[in-house]
Amino acid sequence: MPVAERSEGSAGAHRGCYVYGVVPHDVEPVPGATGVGDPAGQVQVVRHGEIAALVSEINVTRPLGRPEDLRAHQQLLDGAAAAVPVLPFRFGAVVTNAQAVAEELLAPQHEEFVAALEQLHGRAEYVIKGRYIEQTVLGEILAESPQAARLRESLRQIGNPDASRTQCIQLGELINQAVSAKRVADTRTLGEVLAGHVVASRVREPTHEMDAAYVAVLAELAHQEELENAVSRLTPDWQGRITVRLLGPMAPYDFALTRALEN
Amino acid sequence: MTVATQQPAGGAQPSPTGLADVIDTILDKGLVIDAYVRVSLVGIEIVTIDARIVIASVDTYLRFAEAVNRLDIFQDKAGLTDLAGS
Repeated sequence: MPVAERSEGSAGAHRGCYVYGVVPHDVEPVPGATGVGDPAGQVQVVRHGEIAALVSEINVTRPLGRPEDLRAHQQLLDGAAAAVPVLPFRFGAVVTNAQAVAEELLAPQHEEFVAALEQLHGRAEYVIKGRYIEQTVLGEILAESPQAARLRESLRQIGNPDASRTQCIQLGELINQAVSAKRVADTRTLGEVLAGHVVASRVREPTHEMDAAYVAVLAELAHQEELENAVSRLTPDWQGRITVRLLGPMAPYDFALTRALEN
Repeated sequence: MTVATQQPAGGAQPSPTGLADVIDTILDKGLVIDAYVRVSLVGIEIVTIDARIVIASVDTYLRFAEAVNRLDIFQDKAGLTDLAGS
């Protein structure tokens, strides 16, 4: 539901200030950097004390969420995170104007944000995503679960999948349980491999039924190569059954430890 | 489902993030503005695709069952032992 701020009754009535994140006060945006919205606003810095917010002007009467908008948000914050500590906001943070950013966001939370930025100094988030190779993992499950193998066999004999929906669901549920158990085990393996190379880690909820592991880590930017090597050490065990990707460096979305996430 | 359009990474070098990765992160994680700003908060309509699959649903189960059925062809071709033991 769009709720435009109309009280001013001026040309600025449909304008808002989109907030990307909080950074140290001496950060300058890349000249010409553009943000979310159509047309995209210029990225600007609103400073208060030792901190600053990366913002851009936006028309609040238009819905937000085109792929370009999502990418603009992500690229600005991840680009910043590779160089400076940054507290990223969730997509879609809009306040009335730059003055409100300084007075209502930065000023009251100054100490809290300064402390959080200090914790993030020299660090960034990386995400490790493992995805099962379906044929391999289904083969493993059939070999390990006599019950699933029996059900599949009986379904093959019926021949008509429409006539056996209940059994299909039963088999699928068994497979799903087995995949979930494998996910727990493989996520644990990933955690063991990463231990000692990361400052903190968070297991994310799976977003795909074939997710093998989905973990966000906070790591030292200077130690990225160690992290890459650690993930590579999974290759002998995971080759052929899990494809693994390492994403980052990115803004510490999972580790911006302030009041907002504690609530 | 939205699929990330990216090339497989060589080795464990960080790979470019696809749109699905972006959605998982920036719509779900990060600081929430409402926790800090109340008076000057502006609501804005967010219209976006949700790339996530609801796992552990009947749809998931049916997809898995179908995938297991398809697996026969794969295994026969590969000359693997019949895992059903029949």
